[in-house]
Amino acid sequence: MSGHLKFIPGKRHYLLFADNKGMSPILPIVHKLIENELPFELCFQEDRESAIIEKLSNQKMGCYLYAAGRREWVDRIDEIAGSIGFSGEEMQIMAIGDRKNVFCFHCHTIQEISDQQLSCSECGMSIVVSKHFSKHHKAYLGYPAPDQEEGDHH
Amino acid sequence: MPLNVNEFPFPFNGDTYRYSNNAVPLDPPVCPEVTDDYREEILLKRNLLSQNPERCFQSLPHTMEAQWEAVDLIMHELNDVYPESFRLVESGNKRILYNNLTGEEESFVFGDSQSLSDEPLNMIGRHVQEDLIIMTQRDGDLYLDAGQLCFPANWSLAFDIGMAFGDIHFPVPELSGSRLLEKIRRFIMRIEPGQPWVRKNWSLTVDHQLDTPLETSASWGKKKHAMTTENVGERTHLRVECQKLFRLPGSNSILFSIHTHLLPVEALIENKQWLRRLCSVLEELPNPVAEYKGLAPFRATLIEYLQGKMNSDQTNVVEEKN
Repeated sequence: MSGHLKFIPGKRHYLLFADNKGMSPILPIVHKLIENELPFELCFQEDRESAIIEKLSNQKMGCYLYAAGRREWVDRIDEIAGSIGFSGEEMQIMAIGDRKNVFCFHCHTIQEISDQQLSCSECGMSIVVSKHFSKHHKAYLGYPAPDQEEGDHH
Repeated sequence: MPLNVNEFPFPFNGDTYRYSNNAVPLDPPVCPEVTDDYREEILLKRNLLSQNPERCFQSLPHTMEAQWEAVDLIMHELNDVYPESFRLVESGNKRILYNNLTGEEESFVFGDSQSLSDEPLNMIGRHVQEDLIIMTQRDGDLYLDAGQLCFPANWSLAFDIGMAFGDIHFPVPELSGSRLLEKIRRFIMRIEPGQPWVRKNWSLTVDHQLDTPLETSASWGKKKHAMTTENVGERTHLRVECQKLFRLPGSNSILFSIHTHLLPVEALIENKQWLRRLCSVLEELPNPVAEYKGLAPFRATLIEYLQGKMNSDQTNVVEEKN
């Protein structure tokens, strides 16, 4: 998602996640919420997975979710929210920085890329960026593109 | 391949398969299993390790104590359980492990990494058919912090190194983020010293190939699309991993060993109950699981083959009666 976060009025409760990078896009939403006297909670820099799961699981129906920050962090919040049952209409996710580190499945080179599909700059293998993230490498797994290997694997 | 098909660790107890915590107490409580394929598999392992060292071995520096504990556990078990093949001589901190199957001896000072040319886990793994993984338990979670892995089923040790248990299983459909996965994680974290567990995991693979890492999947994966009803029985293999879990008390880590067994599907013809079970498991398996296990491209072909074998068997029975 690009551009800015859109204020959605009339929800029962708002849950906001932001890190350092996400504060500036999230602040206009906070101002709107205060202006409209709507109940909200802001979680700043919360990167303990268990705490994110707990926070999202404890929300009642009618809660609206905003998350803004570095890509791997908001992607994970997006994943968890989806698995808990938040639909696309109940949240807005904004990833800051449109490039991410990708780990080549074949030669292990980590490279920064912006496309979903690319050829590895080192070994030339055609790779697709998955959502499997390594905190250790701070990179997503790039796995074999289907043109090399049909219908297989994560 | 075992001489007797009925000795194969067949993975199915029923006619359907779902992920579950299928671990049972390991009896006898022994990590390494030396089979008839020992020499062949050790040779393959050594070649893979020398040609692809980063693919086959990874470790984080804080695992050294756990690695030595794994060495201690495995070499004592080799000495005690396979006395004709292995002998361990201990004198103070000095150790000599004699491997009569390869004609080698490993001589080193226990706990002194300088006395070995490889890291401890990378040394002992060269003497057993098992892949060896060390999971560190810290901050209330399990982390894959060291491993010697030559025979992975389509995953990358180099990518997964340092990863938490839940993140490792992120790609597994129906398991990622589930209560079951959390239950299994808690179960492993409670494993006690001297009380190891074992579970079987399975998939299907093409040809007798143990080394199917993610790194080379673009080449071995292609073979899945060449299956026909004529060759599918001979070429597809039931791949079963006997996975054992041991607590290493000194470092409070887990040793996770994986012994991979392969059996060509056509060998199941000798065991009618297994033949029928494999067929019904494949017919019933949810699509996402079939895709994850890599068998989706040839599932229909294999089912057709298995049904054909079962039907011809019934015909034979009728003919015999007549």
